[in-house]
Amino acid sequence: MKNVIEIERLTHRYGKRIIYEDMNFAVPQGKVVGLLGKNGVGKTTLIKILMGFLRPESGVCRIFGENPHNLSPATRARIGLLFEGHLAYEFMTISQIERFYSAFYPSWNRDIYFDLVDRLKLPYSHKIGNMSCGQRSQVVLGLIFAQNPDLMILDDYSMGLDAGYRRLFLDYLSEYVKDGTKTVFVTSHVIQDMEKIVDEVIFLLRGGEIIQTSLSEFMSDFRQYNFEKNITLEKLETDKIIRNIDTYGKSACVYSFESKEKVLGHIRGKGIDANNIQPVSMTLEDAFIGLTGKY
Amino acid sequence: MIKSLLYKEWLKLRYYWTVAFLINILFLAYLFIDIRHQFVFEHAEMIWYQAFHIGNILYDKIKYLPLVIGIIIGAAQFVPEMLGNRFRLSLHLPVEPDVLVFRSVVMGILSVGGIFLIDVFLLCYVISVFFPLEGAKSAFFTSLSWFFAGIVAYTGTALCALEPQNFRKIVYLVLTAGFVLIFYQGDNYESYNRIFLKPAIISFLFIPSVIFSAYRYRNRTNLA
Repeated sequence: MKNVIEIERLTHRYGKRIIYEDMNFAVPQGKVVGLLGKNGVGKTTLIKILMGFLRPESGVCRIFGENPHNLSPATRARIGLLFEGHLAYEFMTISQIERFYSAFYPSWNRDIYFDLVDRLKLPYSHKIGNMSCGQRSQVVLGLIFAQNPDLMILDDYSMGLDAGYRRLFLDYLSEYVKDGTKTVFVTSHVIQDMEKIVDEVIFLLRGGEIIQTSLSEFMSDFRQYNFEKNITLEKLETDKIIRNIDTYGKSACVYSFESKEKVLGHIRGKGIDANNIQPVSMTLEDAFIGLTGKY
Repeated sequence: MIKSLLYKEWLKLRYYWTVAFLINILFLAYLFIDIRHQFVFEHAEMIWYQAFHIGNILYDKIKYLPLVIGIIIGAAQFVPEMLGNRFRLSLHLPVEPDVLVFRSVVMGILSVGGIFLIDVFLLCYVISVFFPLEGAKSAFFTSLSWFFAGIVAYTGTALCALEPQNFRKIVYLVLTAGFVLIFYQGDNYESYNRIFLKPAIISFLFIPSVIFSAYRYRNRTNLA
């Protein structure tokens, strides 16, 4: 399977703060890949690098085999890009922005744009600058779908969308990826939506560590273990086996990619008197918090 | 695609351009009334003496008008692009980025240039109503440097708006102010006739420099 996005040995820092160091991953064609990470780990920075708006310190990025800083117009036309905050030309109206963008994209589908925009029940002469964040996002997503791109890069698509519009967006996205040729690289803070749409997840952790896996593999391999009775975990620290420790009141749990036996043995090896642990079923959001921590 | 890019620039500029155009027309109408007023209340030979012997430029009230128009059109065109970094939207369009910026600047120069051409025509007409043809010809050459200052003000505004680094913005601002001042050094009729070509040619270098600012915007290593 061809890779649409390739990142090799990517390093970037702001001053002394390392954002990524030797980061590698690829996004295969026909997949919906979710980039997940806490605020400030560099998700938007990564998208800016990928789209050639920021030059990384070192490393190689390729989109459709091209350097993001020298993307040919033909390749740009294949990429639908949603900027964080649903950026749009605020001086244009609903109809003006459609007229403007339609000239650039050969397979422009105006019906899909007006289908999404008509649900806003606004006149076409309504200025984008006078819209609410949710209304604007609907217009911007409509433009991206109308473009019918081979690759969609969506930076926090859910920002400002209410539950109904989020569901509507997911319906359109499912339709868009149905034939298996379209690729989506998406970030969002609404993790429960990601569970419905992504094939693969990339967890971006502080310091640039990444974990890339299929959603099904992650959900089956990453586990939360609850302790059967109240326990003190002061001696326990995160390591390769214990990915995270969460204590709340007198209860405690640990998160790990390892089996129950291995985790229990590891905890006992630290001199902690743990009789038994129980795996607990998790949603993607639980697992995301388990992996990255609450704070 | 070119039509679409022009359409976007027009949407940004249309109100500002129309207001700028009307202000210019009103200014020139005022100039006509002002000169006529002088001819009504003064002896014609006194006005002639003041204008062509003492060297008072009768129409220097429009001196800074092109400068203001250049800044307004430049800001109207590029500030909306930079608010919230919306310039990225333009850079993501399937068009070569340098070509895209160049077309925007050309559109802006045509917008200010259009107003300036009408100004020059009306100024020469107003002067020709009260003075011989030589007076109108002299008005053309005298005012040319002010209109060039307007073009420099426009490109300088674009340059500063697109530049991502604040320090460089200040440097460009100083450079622009310096170039603009060159065109305001003469306070006599046709002061620039012998030396006009050199600063005019150098001024045109401001146009590709806007492309350089846009290039720097695309190639930042820091978002600050």
